[in-house]
Amino acid sequence: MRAARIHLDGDAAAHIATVMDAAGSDAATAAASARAAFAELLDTARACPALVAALSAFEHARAGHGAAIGEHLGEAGQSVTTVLAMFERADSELGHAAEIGA
Amino acid sequence: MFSAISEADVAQLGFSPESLDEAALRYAAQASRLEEAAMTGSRAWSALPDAVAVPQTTALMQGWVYPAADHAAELRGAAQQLRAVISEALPALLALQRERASLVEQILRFRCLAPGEGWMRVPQLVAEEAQLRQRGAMFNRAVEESTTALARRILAIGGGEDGRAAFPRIGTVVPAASVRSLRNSADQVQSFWAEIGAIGGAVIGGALAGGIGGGGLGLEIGGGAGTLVEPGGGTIAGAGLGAAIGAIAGVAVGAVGAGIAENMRLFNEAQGDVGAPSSSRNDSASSAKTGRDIRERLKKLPRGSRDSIRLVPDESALDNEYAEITKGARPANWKGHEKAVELDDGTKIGMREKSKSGGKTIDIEFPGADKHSKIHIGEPK
Repeated sequence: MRAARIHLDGDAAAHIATVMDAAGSDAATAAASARAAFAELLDTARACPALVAALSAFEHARAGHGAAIGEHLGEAGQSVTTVLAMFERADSELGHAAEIGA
Repeated sequence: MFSAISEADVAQLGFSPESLDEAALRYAAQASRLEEAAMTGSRAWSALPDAVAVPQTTALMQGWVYPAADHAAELRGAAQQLRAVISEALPALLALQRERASLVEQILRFRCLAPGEGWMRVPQLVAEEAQLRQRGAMFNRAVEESTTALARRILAIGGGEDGRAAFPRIGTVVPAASVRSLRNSADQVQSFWAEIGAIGGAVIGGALAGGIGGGGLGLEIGGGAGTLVEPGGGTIAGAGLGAAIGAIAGVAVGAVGAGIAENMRLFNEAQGDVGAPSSSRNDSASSAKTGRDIRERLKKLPRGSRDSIRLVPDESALDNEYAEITKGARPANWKGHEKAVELDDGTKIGMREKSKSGGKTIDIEFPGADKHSKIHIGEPK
């Protein structure tokens, strides 16, 4: 009864796809903001060599990942949307098949 | 050349402690927002219906969503630690700033007391200057020690001396693994879609046939997966009508299978942007065979009772043969076959668990051919 279940879950799945996509987009925006905020932090400390070196190392270790996290979530959001689009299409075509059968 | 102490001899902090603290606060807030977004994505994925979370998509998504959420949480934690370290250092940094202002003020006042006002004061001035120099040197050491200590604490947040050890870059680790996993299971995903199509046929055939009164036969003809739905106990006439409707539905569902295959290709193309070599995306396509290839391959197998029947020694050899000749082909529905594929030229290959001769058999339908070719298990006579 899997096909019927997909049909029943269609609305919820579409909603989750929207949420997931928005999360990916939010994460990309947040990652860009975090990078900008860190650049500001680095800029603030620019005349102190010890702090600049330490913050640069911190950024290398941590802040660079902000972008990767955002990109990952963006890709994940797109993938969920793609997967769900496939389900929706399969679901709709199965529905169409039922109509032909009827 | 000797010259009296000046403002330039006193080290500058080089930054505004308050601005540094505010910037660290803003950064921590942005890292929290990033974590929030990652958690929203993670929660949304966790809440997906079971029907969507098939193993293949789960493997793919887990490779992206969960590590991203974990690393976002780590990043937020690190940003908060950074902010805490800077906040903790803020009073000492502000004290240094005040101390410098006081020292500079005294230096400027001293320089106003020019020796010209009376050579008698020179010894006193020399002593005062020496004191200021000593204080200036101590201040410079304090600035260096304070900023170095702060830098060391910031580095410690990074996880090591250079701050790099504890945080491998997820940008290279996660997608490569995910994409590899996805590509390795591409065939399985396609089979899943084919299964959905077959089950859909069974459900539709079964439901329609059941509605009329003959579920059992309708299922068998409509989808080939009738065991998933309990047969209804209807009249023979109802069964016949159900069968006909089921068959129509089954054909329509076959079209769904083709649509799904196209979707799969789009899906694979979408994943292609993540970084796997382009050649790997075409592996399955390049290995797809044609009817001519299959005919050539059949000729090399021992002949059975007819020229269109070929033999392999055992079930394992039959399975290997099926795997080989269907490699890279599009999954398809073929009534009476547990699994089937269709080549681009229309050649259909299907596997049946039972045949008239008794055993597992591969059927091959070449376009335009009168009879199916078959591969049976058996020894040549």
